[in-house]
Order: sequence, then C-alpha cells, then structure tokens
Amino acid sequence: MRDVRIWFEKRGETRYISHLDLNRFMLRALRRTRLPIWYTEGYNPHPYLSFALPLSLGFESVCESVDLRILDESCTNEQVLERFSAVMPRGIRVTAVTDPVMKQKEIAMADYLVSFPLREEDTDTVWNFVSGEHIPARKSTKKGEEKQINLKEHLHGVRLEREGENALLSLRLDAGCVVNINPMLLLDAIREQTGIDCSGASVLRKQMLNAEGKEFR
Amino acid sequence: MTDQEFHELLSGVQKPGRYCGGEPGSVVKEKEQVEVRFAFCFPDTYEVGMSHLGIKILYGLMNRLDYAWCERVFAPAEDLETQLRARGLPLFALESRDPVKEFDFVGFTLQYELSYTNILNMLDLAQIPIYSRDRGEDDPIVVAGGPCACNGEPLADFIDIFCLGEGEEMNVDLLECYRRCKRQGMSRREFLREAAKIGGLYVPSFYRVSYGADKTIDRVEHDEAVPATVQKRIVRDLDTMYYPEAFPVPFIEIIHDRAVAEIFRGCIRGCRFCQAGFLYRPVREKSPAVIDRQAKMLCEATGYDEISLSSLSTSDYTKLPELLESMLQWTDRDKINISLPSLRIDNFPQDLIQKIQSVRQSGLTFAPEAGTQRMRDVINKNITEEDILGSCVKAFRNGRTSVKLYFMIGLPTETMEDVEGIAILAQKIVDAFYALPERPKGKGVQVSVSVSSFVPKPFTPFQWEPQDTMEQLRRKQEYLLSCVHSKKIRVSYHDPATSFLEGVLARGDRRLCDVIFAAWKRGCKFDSWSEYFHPELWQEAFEECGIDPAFYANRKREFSEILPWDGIDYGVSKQFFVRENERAHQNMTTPNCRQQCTGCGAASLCKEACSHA
Repeated sequence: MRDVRIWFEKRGETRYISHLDLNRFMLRALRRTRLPIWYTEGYNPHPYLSFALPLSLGFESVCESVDLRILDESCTNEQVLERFSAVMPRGIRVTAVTDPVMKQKEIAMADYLVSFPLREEDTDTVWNFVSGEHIPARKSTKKGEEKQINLKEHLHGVRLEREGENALLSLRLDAGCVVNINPMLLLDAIREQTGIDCSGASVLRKQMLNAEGKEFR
Repeated sequence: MTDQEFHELLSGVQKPGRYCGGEPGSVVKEKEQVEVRFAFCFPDTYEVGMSHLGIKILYGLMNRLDYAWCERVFAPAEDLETQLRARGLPLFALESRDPVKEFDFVGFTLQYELSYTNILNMLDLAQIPIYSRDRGEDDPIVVAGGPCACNGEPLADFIDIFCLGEGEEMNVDLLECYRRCKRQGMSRREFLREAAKIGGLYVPSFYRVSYGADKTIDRVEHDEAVPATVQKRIVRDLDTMYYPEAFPVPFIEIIHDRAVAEIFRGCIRGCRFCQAGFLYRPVREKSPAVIDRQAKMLCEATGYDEISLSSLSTSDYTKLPELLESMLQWTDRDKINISLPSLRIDNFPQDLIQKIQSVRQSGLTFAPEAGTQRMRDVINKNITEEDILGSCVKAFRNGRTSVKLYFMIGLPTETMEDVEGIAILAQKIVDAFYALPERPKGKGVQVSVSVSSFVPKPFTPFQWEPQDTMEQLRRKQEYLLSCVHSKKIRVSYHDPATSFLEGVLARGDRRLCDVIFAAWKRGCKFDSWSEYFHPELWQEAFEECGIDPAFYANRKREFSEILPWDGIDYGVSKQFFVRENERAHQNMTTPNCRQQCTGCGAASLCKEACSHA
C-alpha cells in the first residue's frame, strides 16, 4: 500500500465544476480506472481521496493535485498516469503522478494570474492601489460575519502587466487551511475603493507553495 | 461564441455546470464531417433531463451513425434565460455551443403535459418560429416523441413530426430519410411527405380536423399520401436491440444519478388508470444474460456505484432471481449498489432482497392507489388489504420504521367512503406496528401518505371519464385530512389546479394550441414547478381563445365520440378499453396477462411477444 499524488489541470469548461462536484467526479473516474485503491473504513466505505486545496467555482488551475492510496505496490506511477489519462474529460488533463513529498497541510501560499478588461487610463490607479501599503478589504469569517482586513498583510507579491485590452495581475496570496485569501477579495476591494469594475475576470491558479516559498510537491 | 463570451454569459449564473458540457461520455464530432445534426431538447432543466433514460438511449443511438451528430439541449433556468435574452444570444447546444437554429432537427421528448410551455419557450429562445406554418426552408425540422406523443394534438400546430413508440429503429429511419432527401435537394414539404411514409411517424400538417355543433370532433381528413391511422413502432427483440454502453456522466448533482439497465417493456397488470402500462405493450423481456452484460459495461464505462433496474413493474420480471444472482457476482466485488424501484406489494421479493446486501433499500414505498377493496377493484389494482398489511409487517419485523404509500383521489365511481378508506388503511398499518411484539425498540412509526389527484388519460379504459372538478378534489382532500387522527400519519397532496390543467392538456385537441401559445405569451413556463405555476394566467389564455377547459377535463365522453387520438394506434384496441371501462363500473377485476390473455390487441404488433409463458 502506498500513497500517490495525481497532478492535474482544470481548465476550459471544467472551471464550472465546484469542488464538491469535483470530488464526486474523481470518485467515478477512479472506478473507471479499475485501479485497486484503499477504501476508508466505517459505515459508508468510500475511496480515500484527499485534495490539496479546494479551488473556487469558476477558477482555472494548472497545479491541482489529489492524493490516494494504491493497494498494489507493483503498480508504477507511469501506469497510474496512463490509466487516469484514459478516463479524463477534455477539460481535465493529468500532468504527472508522483510520490508525495510535502504534506498537504504545509501549503501556505498560492500564485494566481487574474486577467480582466481594463482601460489604459485606469492602469495606474489599479497599480497604485494593489502595490500600496494599505489595501482595505472585507472578508467573511467562518461565523458568517464580515470583518475588515488589510490585504497587504496577506499579499506576498504583486505584478501588473497589460495584454491588449486586458490587465494581467499576478498575485501571491496566503492560502491553505490556516488562512486562505480568495483573489476575488482583491478585485472586490479594487471596485470598492477605486470604482473600477473588474467583472468578467478570469482567474488561473498557477502554483501552490509552502511557508518558505518552495513549490508544493 | 468565444470562451470569453461564454465565461461572461455564465458569470453570476447559478450552477453554471448545467450549461458547460464536456462531461465524460459526451460526444463531440467535427461538424464539417457530419451530414445531419440533431438537437435533443429536454423541456426541463439539466438536472431533470439528465436523469431521463430515453435521452441516453437516443443520444448514443444517433451518435453511433457516422453521418449524424446528436447534441443535448436543456431548458435554461430563469437566470440564464434572462442573460441570453439581454445579450440577444440564441439557445445553444451543450457540446458545440452552436445555436440550435442551425441544426437539421430539433427533437423534444414529451414526458408530461405541463412541460408544453417550456417547449414553446425553448423554440422562442432558439429563435425558431413557434408555429410550424411559419418555418422556412432553413429552419430545423421540429420532432417530438415520448409518452405524451400518444396524443400530440395540443401541440399539432408546433410540431412537424411526431415519433410514436420506440425510437431505436424509427429514429435511424428518420435520419436516413432526411439524409437522402437532403442530398437530392428536396424541399421541406417534400421531405415531410417522405417521412410520413415511415412507420410510426405522424405528420400533423397532412391532417385536418373539423368540429361539430356540439364541439366534439366531426371528422378528420387527410392527404392521399398519408395513412388514416398511424401505428406506433416497437422493437420486437429487446436482446438484439441497441442499448448504450456509456452515457454522459454529469459533473453536477442531478435527480437520479446512477446507471440504468432496462429489463423489460410493457406491463402485464392492466391497471385501468395507468397509461404507461398500455402504451408500452406488448410485454417484451430482455434475457438476464443480456441485461447483466449491458449493466456491467455501463458501470465500467461510467464509474457509477449504483445501477437501477428499470421497468414498469420490476417484480414481474420473470427471471429476477437469476438476474440478481449473475449481477451480484460483480456488483458485490466492485461495491456497486443495485436499486430496485417499481416493486409490487403482492409479489415484493422481500426474502430475495434480504439476502442481497448490495441491494439498497432506501425507503419502503408501496402504491395501493385506493383505500377500499371496491375502489381497488374498479381500477384493477389487484392487491388486497392482506397484501398491504402483510408487506408492511414483514418490513417492520426487519427493522423498518417508516413506510410511504401512494394513493389517488378522484377515481371513477369514488365515494367519500372510499376516501375515508385511505385514512382507515393508514391507521391499520400504524396499529399493526404497535401490535408487533418484535417491533424496533425505542422508535415510533412514520406512515407517509401521498395523495395525488386522478387525471384520466388517453389509451386507458378511463379515457371517457370526467375528471373531478377542482372543487370536488379540494373537498376530498379536506375530508381525508379530517379522517386522520394519528400524528404517525403524514398526508401530502397536490394542488388540484395543476391536476386540472394536466387533465385538460392530456385529452385535448388542436384547439388548445392557441391556448398554450397565449399562456406562454403571458409568461407561463415551468408549469410543473409550484413557484412558476400561474393558473390565473392560464385562465386568461383560455378566455382569450374562447375555450372552456372543463369541456376537455370534466365532461363525460360517450363511447361513440371521435377522440383526438383515434387516428393513432398503440396496439391496444378501443373495444378492449370499452370492455374494461364497463367492467370497472361493475366493480369487476380483470386478470393479468400471465393469468389469462384478455385480448387487448397488442399481440398483433408482435406475435413473439406477450408473456404467456
């Protein structure tokens, strides 16, 4: 019995699958692979599947991963990759199958690329806001209340470029089970503080990192 | 539509997974390489439509043809519809996102009458002329099949071709005919004339209906090139019939999310209220080996962990123990649950099911349909109080503490005593629970009684009966509630207004087409959803068109009257229905097909059929 980490991209129309749906989807995909996997014990046994970090509905990603436990030790990572690739829909591409290196709970940050239509003349306003010392934003707490936070405290890198009609905002934000910041919070803050509407934004998660800034593997 | 446009369309929309396509099992072809494109339109949301077996069969069937591509379209929810209209975007198909109006065929499945306004709404959203007479050479051919096609007259002005009966062979014939006609450069009208020659296809524009002074049908005239009566198509041998090896597996949660294996068609029982049992005759079974093989392939291809054995009356399948035994060899090993809906009380295979762990028993549900033996005899639901109590007691002994029962009110010859009978029966079940010394300790019993309002349907012995008025139904509902004295009994019932509308449309004729259009124009859609149902708008529509809905629902028809569906033949003869109606009025039952053949006429469609064995 050994743990494997399945790496995959979630793009195109599969961005519209919620995390809960993705979980259900993986369970079925797993059955289609006919791989011998470990089931949880208890009243309602199901395959053991653990995702690294949930992805918001509507976001794309090239760095997703899910851990599972293979019963047959002689089954290689290459074989697992092959079997999974064969049962995926077009929006989900399996990029690698590895032995897990870090633990999922070590994830502390994530890099996002956010693109949205932005007029040339508004570029400076947005840049001044996101690179400033104080970025007021509102975040809902677990209790369902809203609190004011300074996003600057959770932002570890920001870059703004232009591509045609669109702005490309690269962000490194706190992520993981302790503190998780959704990039939409920044876009909402931009709208609230500057009046600039970033609707129609597309978000791509590019990688996940641990607290030291090393890529999650 | 570009990806960016699509993304903008869906931002702010609930459950975008309904519209994005790309599911495992969905079929994408190169549109330049196909000659015939078919848009299968289910007139309800994705969650409802993807639970339907028919779409899965026909999708796979048509996509198997290399010259054809079948895509799926579902009714958009209100929020997406608002976006589509605001942006001037026409309704699109899931797989290609191409506008439905660019397809060769737009096909609807008529599952229930209250979906009719959704059909008009989808045509409008697709930017296809709603009335057939307004469609031009470039517009798609609009076809419709499914159970309500047995009386498609209320939609006759909107549908180009009705497909009657089973589609496994008929749909292929239709597509091949179209391909041939298209290659020969035939016009729309010429194609329809050719299509009318194919068995099972009814083209309403070649028939003209005239009405008498008493408002009933006087006569029906038809073009020389078409037959006076159109007979439904059936597949004779279910074992060699097409069955899909995979279906699109939804990403989002839907109503029934599991693999489905069809085990037989038709029904031997002949319950007099049940349209489906007659429409799908003659009874034809699939052999256990074929079902087992197909079920296994489906589970492997889809990854589902539950498979449902589908039929009108699963406990009547002659080889059920044998089938379950074969299936258990792999379902237990692969941890797949077998679901057995539609079991009868009087031959509920309780002992069989107890032995089988993988057979998931969600709730215990029975359909006695009527509360007194006399009433059950009238409707020919041949189960006794003993059967009902016996099954419930067995279930209680096995640890069950809840039971759900389905009944109807408004049945022909019903009296208040029969209505009270429902409450009395429910109470007997509660009492039986408490009388059991070995009943589950520490828990009370819950008897849920679901009472719907009877709607007389075409192709049943009750097709001449008047439906109870809404007032009569409400009085009976109130009376029933007053007869219930225990907190252990929970009664639920339906709004009589929806049953009334269903009753009007089910036995309607072509004069209702303008009414449906007027109702849709006033904003009616999703009529089967209580939040969207507006009976007052329908009332306005009836008034605008000068139609009295009670003429269709509440009037007793004479046996001599020409019925709107008389030009359609589903195998069972009118004489049989007359005989059965007369027996009902004499409280006489009729044996089931296996006990004795009562000559319904369906055997004429297929001599090899009918489970006389």
